[in-house]
Amino acid sequence: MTKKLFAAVPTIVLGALIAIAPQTFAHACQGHDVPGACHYSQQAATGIGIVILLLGVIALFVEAKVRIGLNIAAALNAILLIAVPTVLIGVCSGAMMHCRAVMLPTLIVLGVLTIVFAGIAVWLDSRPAKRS
Amino acid sequence: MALLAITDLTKCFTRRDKPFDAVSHVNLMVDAGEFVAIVGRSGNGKSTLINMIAGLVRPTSGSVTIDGNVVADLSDRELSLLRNRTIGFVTQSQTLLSNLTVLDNVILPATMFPEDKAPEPEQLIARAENLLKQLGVAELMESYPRELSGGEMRRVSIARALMNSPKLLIADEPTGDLDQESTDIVMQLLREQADSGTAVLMVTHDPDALRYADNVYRMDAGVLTEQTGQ
Amino acid sequence: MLIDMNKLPFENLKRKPLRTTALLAVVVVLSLALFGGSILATNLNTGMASMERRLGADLMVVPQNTAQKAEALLTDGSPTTFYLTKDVADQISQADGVAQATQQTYISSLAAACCDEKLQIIGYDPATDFVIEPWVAEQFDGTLEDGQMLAGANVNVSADGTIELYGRDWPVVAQLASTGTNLDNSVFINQTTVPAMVEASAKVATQVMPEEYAGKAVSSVLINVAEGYTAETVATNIQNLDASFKDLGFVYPGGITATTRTSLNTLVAYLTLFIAVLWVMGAIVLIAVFSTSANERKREFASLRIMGATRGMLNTIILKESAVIGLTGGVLGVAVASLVIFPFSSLIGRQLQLPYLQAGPLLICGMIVLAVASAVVLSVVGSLLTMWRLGRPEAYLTLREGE
Repeated sequence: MTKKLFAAVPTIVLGALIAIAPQTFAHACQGHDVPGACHYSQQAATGIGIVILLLGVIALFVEAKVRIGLNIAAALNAILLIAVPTVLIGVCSGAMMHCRAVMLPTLIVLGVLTIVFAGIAVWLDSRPAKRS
Repeated sequence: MALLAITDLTKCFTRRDKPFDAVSHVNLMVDAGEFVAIVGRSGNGKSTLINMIAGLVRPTSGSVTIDGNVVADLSDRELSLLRNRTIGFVTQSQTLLSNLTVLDNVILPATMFPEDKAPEPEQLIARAENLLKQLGVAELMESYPRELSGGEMRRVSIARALMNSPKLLIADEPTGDLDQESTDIVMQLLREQADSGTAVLMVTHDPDALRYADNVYRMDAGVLTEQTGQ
Repeated sequence: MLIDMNKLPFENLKRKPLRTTALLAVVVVLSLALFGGSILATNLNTGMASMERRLGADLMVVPQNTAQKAEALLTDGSPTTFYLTKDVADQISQADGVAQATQQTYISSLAAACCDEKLQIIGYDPATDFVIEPWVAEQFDGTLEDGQMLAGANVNVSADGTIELYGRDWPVVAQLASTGTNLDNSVFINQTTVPAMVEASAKVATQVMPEEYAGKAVSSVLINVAEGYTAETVATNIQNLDASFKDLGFVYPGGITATTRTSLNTLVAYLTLFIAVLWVMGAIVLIAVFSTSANERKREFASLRIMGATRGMLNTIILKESAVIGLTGGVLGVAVASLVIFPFSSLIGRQLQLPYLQAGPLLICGMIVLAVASAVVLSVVGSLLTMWRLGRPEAYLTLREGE
């Protein structure tokens, strides 16, 4: 039970945060007509966040072996999440812009946390119940 | 020379500012292969005597010699090695390590001084398993001490004491928590140890246990006397 | 895999998850605070030092009522435009006590394309400059031609090496190193380029200044005073040149840095106090937890003793347990602090309103080592009392007579 919660709840919470943050406090630059890199990164992050959230929800209803797979998927999604604003799409290059000063680091931190928690969950679930 | 030689051993405690001898001028010899039992009511200095033999409590006067070593003259390391290799100690209270499984508890004394003769891990495991089997607690190997009953813990501590094939086995109330059947198993095992050359020193107040012993002593207010008519 | 005295400490920690987690949590908080705090303090000091180097003038003369704007420009303010005319500036340069004088022109750009922010455009005179050149020289070893730009560290330079401003692409010849001050958001142009910039602005947006001023607008005169003069006396001399000069604004960069230095020192002092209090409290908690467990563990250590463990082995067990907790907690604390402090570096700098410049990797490595080592030392010291208590022979008397 504890293992199941540990494998699912952090993923759900982090997924929700990844989906919500770019749309709220860690938003992209505002006030210009033509959407830029930040805007697309923001949209992509929200999408990835929803996927991670759903992986966490599914993990609540399945057995340990499937949970391992779900958490590996969550970790890979988190790598994708980090890659979006850094490599794949990027953000504005103005260092003091909100999207770069807040959204980018927020996504990186949330991504790293997702990877760490998914890693722990995989480790917990792959450990034999009784010591040999 | 006797394996265990106790000469004029005295331990003086102070209770309410009045000194009294918990152990008073005790002399005792135990040879290899001899099974000695000490009886007496609790509070009469039996455990203090045993703790002095094992070097856990310093005597006020007198000396203890084990296998040619004067206990009081040994350094901490030498004394520890003596406890580990030469003495097997079954305590009255529960002294298993709660963080280790039963099997690990029994094996630990064998790996404590790794520098001299290191047997194969498989051999050690096999030996520990064998001891636990003889004591009828083999199925508890993977359990932790808190999951065990008092009698089961006692039998595990006996297995632990025997792990390093001690020359001197000291047992403080080894049958204290045991039912009749277990008592017989334990006493039979102690007897076998004595028969195979181990000196066994047992403290007990269980009359059933006494018939396994070669010699019986009585401890009364710190004074040790040989009991006749055995 | 066979149990021995080396593995015993780890089993002990594993089998007491609650106690281990509690101890770890304390150490994590301490190491996090120490590492985060020292990084913060170091970055502030680095930023401060850089700011002091960049404000290399004794006196700055600016138009009336703009002294505050000018100060903000140097520290953390937003881009502005203000100016006086060149003839005034030339007169100021002649005042008694002026050793060196150079003129600069400040123009605030508009945010044009997406992801562009307002830039501070600074026009300077390479011929007389003594403020920007020495700094620029570290990155750029040539002369800034008309129409070319030098960009501050935070300025968004496009891939082809230009900046789009007022519908024109301006070539950037060099991007400068970060200073932690507002200068990072500035672009530098030759003063003779200023009219072209004003003209360009007229085409696409509100003109930044009237056309007739474009060629003669000067925002400030930066002055180094001659030997034997103070910045204040030179300011008085300038005011005495002409009745209309009474209203000029005077900025003393030395004073700004002194003020900033004071607020920075206050912040660092509070930070130090906070961390010190935290560590004292943490040490008390650790010692308390370790010594409570010492009582509980008397029996455990007595039975190890009976099995033949030497006093050294018992000490090693305690030492290892506390060192493992200190090391793990220290590393975790540094990791958590790093996760916040490095990605959010520019946000922290912005919120602090103080010059903030990320320290170099070597210094950071040093601080990581320091934080982890402190955590290990504290946790080991916390267990010393336990070691001493269990080391006394009386501890084994608990086995007497079934007490």
